[in-house]
Amino acid sequence: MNAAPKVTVTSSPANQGVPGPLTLTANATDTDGTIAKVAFYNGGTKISEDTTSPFTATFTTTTTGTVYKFTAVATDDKGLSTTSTELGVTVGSVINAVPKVSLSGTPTSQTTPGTVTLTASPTDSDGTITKVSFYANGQKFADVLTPPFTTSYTTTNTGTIYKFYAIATDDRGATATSQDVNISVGTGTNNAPKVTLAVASTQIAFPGTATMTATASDVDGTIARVRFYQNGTQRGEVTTPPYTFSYTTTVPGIYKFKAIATDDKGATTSTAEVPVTSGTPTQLNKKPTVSLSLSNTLVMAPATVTLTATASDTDGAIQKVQFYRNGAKIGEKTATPFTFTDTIASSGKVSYHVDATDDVGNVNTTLQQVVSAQVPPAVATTDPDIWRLLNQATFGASQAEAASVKSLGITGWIDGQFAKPVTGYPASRYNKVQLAETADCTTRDPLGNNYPSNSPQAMCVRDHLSLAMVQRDLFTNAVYGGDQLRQRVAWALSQFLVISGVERDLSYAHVMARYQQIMFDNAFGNFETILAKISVSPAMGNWLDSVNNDRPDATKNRVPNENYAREIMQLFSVGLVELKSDGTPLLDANGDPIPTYDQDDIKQFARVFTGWTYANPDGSAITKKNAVYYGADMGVFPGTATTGHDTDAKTLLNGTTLLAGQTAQKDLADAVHNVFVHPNTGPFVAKLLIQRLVTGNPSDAYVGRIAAKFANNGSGVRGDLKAVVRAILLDAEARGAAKADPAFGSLREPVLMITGLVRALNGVTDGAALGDRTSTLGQRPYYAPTVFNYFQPDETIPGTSILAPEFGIHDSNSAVTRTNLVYSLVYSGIAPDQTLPGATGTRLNTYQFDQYATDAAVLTDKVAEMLVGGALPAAARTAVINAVNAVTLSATPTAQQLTDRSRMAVYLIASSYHYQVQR
Amino acid sequence: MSTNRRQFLARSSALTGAAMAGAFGRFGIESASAQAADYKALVCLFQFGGADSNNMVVPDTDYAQYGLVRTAGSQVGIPQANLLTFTASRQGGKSYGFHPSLQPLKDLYDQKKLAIVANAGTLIAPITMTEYKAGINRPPNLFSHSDQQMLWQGLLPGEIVRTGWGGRLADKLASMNTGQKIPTMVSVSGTQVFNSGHDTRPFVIPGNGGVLLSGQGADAVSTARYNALRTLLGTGGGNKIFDGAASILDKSLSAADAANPYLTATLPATIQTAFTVGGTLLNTGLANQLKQVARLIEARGALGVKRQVFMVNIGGWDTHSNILTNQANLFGQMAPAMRAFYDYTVAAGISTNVTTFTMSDFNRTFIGNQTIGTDHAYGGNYLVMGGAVKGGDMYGTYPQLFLKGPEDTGSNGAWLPTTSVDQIGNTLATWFGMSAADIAYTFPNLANWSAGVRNVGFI
Repeated sequence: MNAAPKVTVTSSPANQGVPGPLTLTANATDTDGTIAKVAFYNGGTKISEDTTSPFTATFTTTTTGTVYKFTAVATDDKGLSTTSTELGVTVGSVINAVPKVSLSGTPTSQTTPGTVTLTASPTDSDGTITKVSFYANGQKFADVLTPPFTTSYTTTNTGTIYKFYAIATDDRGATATSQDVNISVGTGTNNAPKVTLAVASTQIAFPGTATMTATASDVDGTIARVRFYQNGTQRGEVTTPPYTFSYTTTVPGIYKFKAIATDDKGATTSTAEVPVTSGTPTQLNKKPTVSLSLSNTLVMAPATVTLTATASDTDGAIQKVQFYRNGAKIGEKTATPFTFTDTIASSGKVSYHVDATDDVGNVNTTLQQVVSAQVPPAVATTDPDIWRLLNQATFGASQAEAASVKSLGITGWIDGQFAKPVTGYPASRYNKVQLAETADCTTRDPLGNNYPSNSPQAMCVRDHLSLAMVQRDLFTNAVYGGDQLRQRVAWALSQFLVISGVERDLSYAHVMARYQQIMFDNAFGNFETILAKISVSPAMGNWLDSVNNDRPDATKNRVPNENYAREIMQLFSVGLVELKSDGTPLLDANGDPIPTYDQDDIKQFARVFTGWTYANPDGSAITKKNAVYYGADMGVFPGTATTGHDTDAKTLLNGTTLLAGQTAQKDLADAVHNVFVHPNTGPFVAKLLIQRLVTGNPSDAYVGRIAAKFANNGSGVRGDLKAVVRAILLDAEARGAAKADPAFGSLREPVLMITGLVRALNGVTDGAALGDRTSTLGQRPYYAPTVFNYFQPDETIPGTSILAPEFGIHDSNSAVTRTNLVYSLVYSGIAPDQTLPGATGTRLNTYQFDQYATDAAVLTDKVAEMLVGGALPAAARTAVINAVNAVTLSATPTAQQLTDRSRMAVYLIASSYHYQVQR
Repeated sequence: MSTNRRQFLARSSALTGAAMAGAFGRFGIESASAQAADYKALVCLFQFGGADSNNMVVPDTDYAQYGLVRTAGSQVGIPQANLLTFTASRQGGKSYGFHPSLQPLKDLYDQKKLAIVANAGTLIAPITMTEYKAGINRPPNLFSHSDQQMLWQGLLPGEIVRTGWGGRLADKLASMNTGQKIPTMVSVSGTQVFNSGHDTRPFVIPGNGGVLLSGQGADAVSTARYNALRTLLGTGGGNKIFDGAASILDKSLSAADAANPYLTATLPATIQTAFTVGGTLLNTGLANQLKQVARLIEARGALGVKRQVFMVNIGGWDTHSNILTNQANLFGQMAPAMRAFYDYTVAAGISTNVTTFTMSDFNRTFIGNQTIGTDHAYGGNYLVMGGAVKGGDMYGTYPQLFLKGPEDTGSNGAWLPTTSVDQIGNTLATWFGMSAADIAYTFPNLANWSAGVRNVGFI
């Protein structure tokens, strides 16, 4: 018996960008003879025949956007032929149109079970239908490959609705699903339910409760449920009569309710919307708008403060504006200008607010704004060592804090700082553990209108669904908090154990707050603890991709993410090159630095940080890879041979081996310990902390002394940050009268520059907008552009090799901006934000100097004592005095002239690098 | 990241203090007679957001291929009838068309003063599709705005980029600018990676007016405040941090003092005339930025500069939706502004001394999306303009606009570039007169291309 030949066809090129000639080649074989000829076809049209091997044909395509379909027919020497599989050659870009399919069934219902005939009507605008699959109640029961696309199905259960649909597939694999065809057996055609909705009253109080009852019925079945909707949002569901529902209104307005009834066969009917008005006409009347502007929020007592209200009413007129001081009414105006002047007799804080009443008696009130009335502060000391200590250990030296150091002594003050309670970002304040708006935390009210920006709901969005509150707290804690040293160290740690709000999820308050709280809580704890905590922080897990990270999967050629593995070594502990104990690089025989780790080490560490996922919000045991949750530390999810924690053995730095079969928790703790005990970590961390606290360019010996303290706190404990911080601040290189080293100190970071001004000048701040100001200088708090912080530790002063990290963000533009920022704080300040309770804005107290302003030299010296802790160099002093004298005084100087003189002196000294450089 | 890559290039940072401020009157314009004969300037125009250059230069001969995907129904395509057609001899003489809003630039192309570089993008080395798909030499973080902007501007893949090739060019050009009163690198586009070098810090000027300290005026108090501020910069007593930081501000203020008279004066007639179109002075953001550049070029003699690098920008190209409306608007701003700037250089007699080139984050997907826009993609088409440009042609290789075709890195039409940013930069730097060593310093990936193809040849 003759065997049939075999044949395949290929095209060169396989596909074409533009139409043109192509060559078809057939590979034809015959096991028991020879190939007599091969014929080539384009669809059904023969192109040519070839009788000799190689069997080829040429064909020129003409139409772009087409799939040409070629076949080859081989015929053997005995006349038996075989057709190849169809070969598709695409010319140009082909966008396959999805097929369409509809389905019908007969009969449309059955009184008793029996055969149903189903007919699909598929179409494909640019090809053919290759298959229709038929489904009954989700189960496929037939494939039909050629027209007519008809099949039958035999129903078996009475009292049931059978749901049929069909899926059509075209010649390029695209599919389409038909509509459902429901065929009921034994129950006849289902009728939709009937439903009406009656509200108890279309006019209710505010706040009030709208009560309503739906009446639902179904002629051929039962009502499965009734759902109630308010302005399109489902608010309730009732499954058994009576179908009553009540809704408590949250804002005055017109609420629209409807009910949707569903019968036992899934048919639904909706009522029309029924309006219910909540609130009296007065309540429905739009409230007036009102804002308050104070002449100043920082004054010298006694003083007058002028309150200016701006009030308007869109649907009426303003009847009156009332002025309040500490909650008690102090004045009322019925016509513009709505101003009132109050006198503050003595020092202290005074809260003001106003309310406006419109013509129907609707009242709207502003939030409180706070005025701080001060008496001239005392100069405690001009001791440069105390002043320098405070610039190293706090958010800016001030005479008030200097008095404390003077009385406690430097060591006593530092020890006192260790004992101060933590300010930080407590979870009780950052208590909105959510990443999306909710009813009580949204900019839109239930009727779809915007909430006022000073409403609790809108403020919640700003404060909890962004970093606005964290940034405000950063500044207010830094200016006012007692735990200055702890905050300063936490801020330093946050700048090398960096996470950033540039990652979307990390720009939610609770996420960033919980991470930064690790720094506050452990600023005087052990560095190993911090490494361990950040390694299981969900914020870090997201930021450096150690969350939901799986062990290697050879079947998919996938390896664990290496991001956290790399950065915990490069940035958080050991650094890139082997270090001597004084932080200088160890060199090999060729004089080159020695890498601390290589790519193999990173791979080993990457396998350590596998198997972790987000916690369950309810705290229950983790059973799988979870979606994001930042309210608790990461946990371990159960793995498989290709997912979860890598349980194979690992070799870490310095030959440390982790045995196979360890838990993810044990591996992580061991890996953290491995980098923690590495000899590099002491000098690495010591140098970074010295740079952030004391000087950008510490001596090797200084680093060495601090690294030694890191290695052993004196009681045999490694990594004790309290001992390290104390040693940094008490080191001879930090302390002493005058610093001869011309490279000693640092350019103040933008954040420290602003907090320092407010603290030194007894200013007031509520933190609002300050993060925006520092961001124009390259330091947007908690939004470092990358894991490499706002600037890097190896930045230098241009043209020198003197390390000065802050120079990374000091350029021609930011230098001018820095100067202008000082100008704006001195000459204008930041006005209170109408949407912030207890707002003060930010003001510097230049008024304390007005009493000296008639004498430019005295004024200059007084400002210098408050701002830089002592006298300016002679040339600088003269320059300031000359500029102050340019503000001429009348025979009887006006208050404005004195103020202008004070501001001139403050601006020039504050913007000068005598203040801007901490040294 | 490599922390030992840093170069400590010796450069005097001697503090000039107030002494420099008084060299000539603060608000006086120095005689512009000493115009530098040897003068060259590069102007980088960055289209922020990732411009869809599939619609900037559209195939005409092969329009069928384009029209198959960017159909009328897709609402992301330009009808063939609307194209401003031209031929490109380097593309086998095929015909292409500019976007209909680019008539002012199409005219320059016809005058051979404008060239197109086709399918360019960020590359580390020459790359085949096979290598791309295997991840070999594939630049990191493609399709990401921030990363690709950094890569176009910095050319240092995998590093935290702190310098850009404009700044590195300026590092090497500073020696030609002896006596310069403003930095070699001037940005009208803020502080960008592109304009910082190892030594170079850009002179950042606003889109209108001068670099102004707050509280400055002509009154006696303002003058006293300013003089004191400058004097205070020189009172650091030898502290290196003080002096280093003060020097940066001092140089900035000196540059401002030198430049402000020219930035705040009445617009010179040559610029006024060139930027007046149809009787109206162009007033778009880009036109204003280019007027600022023109003002400084006009003052080049007085400012003592022979080589300058400028950066301007136009944003809004992230056209995920309503692309046709947005592009018509953006090209409608870009073309007249670029053309006006060129016309200014002609009027000033320096058209062969000034070359303008475009960059953007990336091209956009060839296939449209559901919101009648296009999404982030890769290789795209760019423009080079100037009297020295060998214009009227398209360089590089225009890709086949073929979804899943040989140049599509995926399935939505993201073309694998065939010309790299390093090659474009090298071509411009060579025209600028840079040495091979300086070019190697500026374009770190260039050595990965063979010598014969490093210069794209458009100038």
